[in-house]
Amino acid sequence: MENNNKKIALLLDGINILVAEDNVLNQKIANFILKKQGAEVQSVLNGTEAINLLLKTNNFDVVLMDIQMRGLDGFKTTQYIRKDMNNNIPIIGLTADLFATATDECTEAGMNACVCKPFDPNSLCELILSVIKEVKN
Amino acid sequence: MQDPIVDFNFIYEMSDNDSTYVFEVIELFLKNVPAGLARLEQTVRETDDFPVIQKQSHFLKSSANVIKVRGMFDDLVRMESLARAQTGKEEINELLEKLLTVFNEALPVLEAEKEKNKKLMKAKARN
Repeated sequence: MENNNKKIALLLDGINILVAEDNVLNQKIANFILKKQGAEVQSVLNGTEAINLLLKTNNFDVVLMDIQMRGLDGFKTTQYIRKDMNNNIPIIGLTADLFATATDECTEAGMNACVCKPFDPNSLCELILSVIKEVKN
Repeated sequence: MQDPIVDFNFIYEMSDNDSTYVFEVIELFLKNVPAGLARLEQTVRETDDFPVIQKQSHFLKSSANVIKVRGMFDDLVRMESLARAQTGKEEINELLEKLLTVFNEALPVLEAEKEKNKKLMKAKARN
């Protein structure tokens, strides 16, 4: 288990991640997990801030996007990124919903994957890596 | 024997028992959840605004899944579901009472755990 964690930490090293999450508690959890595994993380509290940041820089490798943020939610933010900005950056939806429809809604909005909170650290990192790889290919 | 009123396992496991991190998470929880519950209480008592009740219960639900106060997550899931269906105001009122009661019972436990980790954090800094 320890070796597995070390392997994932090396793999996330240098990956730039934007976390869009309006719940500061979940933001803190995500930042802790990702930084611990080697990622560079920047966080915003809503979709508008995420869009503004993505307009300023193309340094991010992946976006973790809460789907039910106040203000501009994760679905609308993703649709804007895909359609108006024509940006194919990998986006992973974050949801606290246990409903099976959440994944379908994420896909329809243009997200690459969806993960349920609270995150399992290893699963989250593996998903990030697989989504980045999938988009690059 | 009944389970403890607050289950901190997730944050301890996730952080490998990092007292600084556990302290910060509990502190954030104590800053955000009471305020969120107060907003939920006001909306439920004073309005029939189901969309706001749904959003507020959803918001609290994700916090309640990090530090697990007994029954809180399930009650918020139920409240969100009722509010989404725009029905069951009577049950929503009952769920609100349950949430407020259990959270008040959990408060001293949360405060004590925060203080315990604050002491550990200070001891760690001294060494």
